[in-house]
Amino acid sequence: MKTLKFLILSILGLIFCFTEANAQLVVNVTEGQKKLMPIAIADFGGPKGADIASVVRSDLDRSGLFNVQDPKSFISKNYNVNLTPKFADWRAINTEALVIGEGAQSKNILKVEFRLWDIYGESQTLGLEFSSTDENWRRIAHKIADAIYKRLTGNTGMFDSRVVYVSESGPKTNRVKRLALMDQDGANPSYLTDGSEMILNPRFNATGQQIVYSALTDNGIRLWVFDIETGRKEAITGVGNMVFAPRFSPDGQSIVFSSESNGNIDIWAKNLKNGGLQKLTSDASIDTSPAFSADQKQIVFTSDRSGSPQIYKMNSDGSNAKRISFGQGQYSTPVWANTGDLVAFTKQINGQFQIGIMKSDGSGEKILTSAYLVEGPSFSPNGRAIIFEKEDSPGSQPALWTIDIDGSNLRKLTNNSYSSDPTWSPMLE
Amino acid sequence: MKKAKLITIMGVLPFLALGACATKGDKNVSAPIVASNEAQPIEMPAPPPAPITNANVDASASTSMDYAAGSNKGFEETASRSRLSIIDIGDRVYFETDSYILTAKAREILAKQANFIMARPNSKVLIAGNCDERGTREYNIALGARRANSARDYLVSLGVNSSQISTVSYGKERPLDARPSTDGWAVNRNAHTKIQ
Repeated sequence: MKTLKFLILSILGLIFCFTEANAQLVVNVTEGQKKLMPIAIADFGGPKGADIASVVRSDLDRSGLFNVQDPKSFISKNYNVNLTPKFADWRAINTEALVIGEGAQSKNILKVEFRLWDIYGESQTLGLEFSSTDENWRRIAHKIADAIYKRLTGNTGMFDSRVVYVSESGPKTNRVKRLALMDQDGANPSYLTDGSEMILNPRFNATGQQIVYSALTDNGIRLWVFDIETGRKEAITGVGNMVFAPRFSPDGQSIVFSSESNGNIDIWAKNLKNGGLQKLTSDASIDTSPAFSADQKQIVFTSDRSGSPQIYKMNSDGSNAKRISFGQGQYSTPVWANTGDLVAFTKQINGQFQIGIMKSDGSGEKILTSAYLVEGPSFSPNGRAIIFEKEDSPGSQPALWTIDIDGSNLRKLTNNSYSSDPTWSPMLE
Repeated sequence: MKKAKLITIMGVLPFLALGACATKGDKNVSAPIVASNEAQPIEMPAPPPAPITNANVDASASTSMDYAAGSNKGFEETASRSRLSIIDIGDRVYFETDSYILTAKAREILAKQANFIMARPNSKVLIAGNCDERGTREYNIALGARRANSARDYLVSLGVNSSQISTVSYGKERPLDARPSTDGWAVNRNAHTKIQ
């Protein structure tokens, strides 16, 4: 897979400015005060125009912050990107924001410009142009959705990103588990391994270009790093060992993981540059699921040293480990948000599984969702949402779901096959 | 001709146990129930086919074999995988939830395994730890490793040469029993000894 360059060619100039001091067009994302902003996205002109608009609509809809208007309700048919819209026609359908865009193609280069209009302020709020090769039209659409999201919410977007996951097939007692990659909206799924090994817990590096995962075979589990751009994979650990639960350090220089020796499971770090190994825990209990803080100074992990699985935090050299989960139940698979002091986790209580978040000192625990099985949370690149694996009820098949960190907007990701073990990528370049 | 075919089906059914449930259209074949009833009383350890053995863990001894439709496929595979004589003395020991402590019953079976292995000093043994689905993936890999090592350590304490044994964990990734119930989970919490 080739990385494709995107150009923000120009910031489109304002066409008109009717009023000087408009009310700010802003979506309130504060918890408990969410009010969906009505937004109309007209079909874009030019090649792939309707498809691009449809992807933008779907992205903004799934964010849970917008009320995306049905194009059938539009009164105005004036979708010329270079003309000022008839605001009264858009006010008549109660929309507050309007997106109009147009693409043009020359050879295989697709250029798409769009304008975001404030209907009540009667002004252009944003005007941008993106350009890439035409097969990349979905990514152009995601970038447009990200730009709109950022302008209206003040937060960075999350739509031009991917999810690495495990695609499952076959009966439960004889599953085939392949490494798979798709866009965050479920489009463009591709399979990166052939199914001869059982793939577990794939995770991106900080650039989103490499995936570390563990592969289970009859006699062991080993780590591999897969490079998306070249399609090459490299073994990080040898055959016949039990090495699992890997994650990259934020700087990409090392991988932390669990390794088993004589029934004891400890956390190690491997330096990818010089191959150096460092043992970070030496407790006689199970220590697993390590994950770095964004500043790389600390690691959260699961340990049963207290008698049941709980979440601990230690310095990244292994020193000063302390327990941070103290609620009822069992805690595991902690992961740190890149965007702040927030740890997401899996919790088991009263026969149910839950996905929750808390601060890294263990305070402020909040359970977001609960089901027969939910596990393995991973934050969206902007930290606003979490993707996880879910089996609704006993015997149901695993699927990927997302939820906002305030517990709202629970959605199943469109996907045709059984899927598990997701990790959300950083924003693509 | 038609009759002969039917008889064949009836003959095979008790062994396939559940696959038979899928046999449709022939009203004379009441075999699924027959198969279930036959399966139940077999004591552990049981001879092949292995699927029947699997249901006879202590925790599930009182259960009927009413497996959910479609849950049977792995059993056929297990049967073919288990054509090993260690089956005859019991190749799996079972654990309590979130535990890797050997039960009295497990130690009894492992003692027989130890004799079996010591009688074959040139054999290589792989012990695989398995978990039910009521834990997270990574933790269960770790827990399965502990279960395999509990079994290994006990065998070694009884005199088995440790260099004969290697261990692995399949976590919750290779369940033997597809039933999402306490009985199914009990079957899946095990350490499996395999002569390689």
